[in-house]
Amino acid sequence: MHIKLSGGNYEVYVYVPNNYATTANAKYTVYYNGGSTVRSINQNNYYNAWVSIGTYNFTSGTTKRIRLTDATGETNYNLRVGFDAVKFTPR
Amino acid sequence: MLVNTKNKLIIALITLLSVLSIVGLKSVHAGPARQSLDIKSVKIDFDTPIDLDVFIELQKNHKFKQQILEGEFTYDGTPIHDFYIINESNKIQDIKSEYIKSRKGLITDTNKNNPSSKNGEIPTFDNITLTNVTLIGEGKSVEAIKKDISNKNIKVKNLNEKDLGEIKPKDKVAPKKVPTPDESQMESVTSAAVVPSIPMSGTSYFYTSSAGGRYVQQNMTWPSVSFGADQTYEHDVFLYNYDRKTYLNGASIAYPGCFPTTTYAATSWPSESKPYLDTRFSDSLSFCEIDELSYTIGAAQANAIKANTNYYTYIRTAIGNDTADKFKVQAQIGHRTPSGCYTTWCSFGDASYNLVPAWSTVVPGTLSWQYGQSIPNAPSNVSITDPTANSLRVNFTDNASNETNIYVERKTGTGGTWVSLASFGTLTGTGNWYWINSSLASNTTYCYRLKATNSSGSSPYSNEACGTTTGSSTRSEVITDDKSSYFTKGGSYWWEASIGYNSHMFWTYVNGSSVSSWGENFN
Repeated sequence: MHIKLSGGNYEVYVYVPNNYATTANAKYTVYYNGGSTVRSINQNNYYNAWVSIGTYNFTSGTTKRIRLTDATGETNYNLRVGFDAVKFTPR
Repeated sequence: MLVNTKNKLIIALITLLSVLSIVGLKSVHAGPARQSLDIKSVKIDFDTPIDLDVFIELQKNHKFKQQILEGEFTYDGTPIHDFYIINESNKIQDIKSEYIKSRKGLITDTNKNNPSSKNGEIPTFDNITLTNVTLIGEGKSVEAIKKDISNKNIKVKNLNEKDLGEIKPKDKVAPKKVPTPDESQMESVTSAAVVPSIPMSGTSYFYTSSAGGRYVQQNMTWPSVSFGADQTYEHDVFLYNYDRKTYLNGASIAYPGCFPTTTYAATSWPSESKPYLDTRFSDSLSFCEIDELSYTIGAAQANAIKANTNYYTYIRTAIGNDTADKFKVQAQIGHRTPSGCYTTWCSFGDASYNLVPAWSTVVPGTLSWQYGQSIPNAPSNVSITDPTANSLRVNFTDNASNETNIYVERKTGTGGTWVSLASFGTLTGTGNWYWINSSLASNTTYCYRLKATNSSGSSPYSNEACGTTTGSSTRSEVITDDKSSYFTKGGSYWWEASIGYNSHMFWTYVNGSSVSSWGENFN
């Protein structure tokens, strides 16, 4: 059963798996109450780990999302972007 | 290999094919074509060494990206195992005369650096025989020459094959959890580290070769040897392209493959140690290593190495930067998997030790070294993650392999006073570690720093990193996985069932600066 977020401050964590995550510039865009921001993570540094991308205020009922794309700016097309779970921890 | 390889990609490629064909994903191939390469590497051990002329005839009808020919000879009573490399991009007209020239170059170069050598007359090397060959090329070329060898009734003792299309550019190494820290003896140095089976002294030489190009010679001596039956040893020399001018810029046609091509290599390790050469060619099929260049000779059967013997490795490159390089030398102890395979791709590193600290500055030149005779490098990359109401995770990189202890200090709040907290003793080799600091107060900020020590003294402190424990909250933590309906994705992507959070994750390739694949999470 999926639980919708109640309004408030949440620290957002993204899960970086132990494989297929070799980009040095994974750009996560966080859409929160009042705007959006981009946080870059070097996925090489994490191995099956929750990685914090900051604390944001989210309001109940409004659109909120975390977006990750393959546009890392890198030209080595052998590198890969690993997508996985997202965690919202109340703060 | 310098990097560990896992076989997961091949599973993923099979998964990918089945996903596309069976499930019929509405994925669009908006990005550039990203096909896997049909490149194979095969190492063939001959039952009895074959004449070089015979092999030259055999290979001339086939096209390979790289061939490594291995032979053995004795000079001045020292048995030498050598590697002669033929690259597609560096076409050699007369293989035999170039091989002979390389052997003579080896002897001339090493005689200069080995004062105890009797400098005997240089042999003519008219009869070169090959113990084994490693061939890298398209699958069909590999199959064709295997057939030719069979047709000529040349007996093969061992044959190991590797699909290089599956080799990934970079693999990750999991951080290890530190052993239970000793909080009772904070200021006393714990017992001395167990001495690993690595050479404790040696000399590094970087000079212009008498046979052309540049050579890297590494002399080394083990005071004692205690390798297990399936253990490997690798002597890794790293050159740092300090000025970023002379090579490795990825564009120069003078350096096809982005770095100076290895043309010849040799070692005086015993043949029973089953030496192998890692040219890094396999890792560099499609991308350039701009900053760092590595030269590696390994011993797949390391327990054949003898104590108190002066050994050397020698690698010659076609061209070399000899003005502004820096270098380091690492010893790597690893193991073979499977244990019956003696190639570079069956050797997996377990622990590395810095013999010459990074980045020493004598290239070109000579440097004598002794292991562990200096204060350890400081830990780095300290970060604080995974806060709970009563614990924080302290992540750090151990950069020293000669430390006897690593201490962690903590202060409460960013303005507090540093207090010694725990010590971890010797952490094997270098690498990433973490420690969970528990029994903390909720909603409180703590800062951490580390240092490494040995009998010579203490390293500088690492960076400082702070984290805040969580408070109690009536709101719940929410997790959405990529398998949930709140997770959407588009473009071309693949998934893997056996890894990631909740045993499932998906991935795509990087695509420069325009978006063609993406995933997002709603809540």
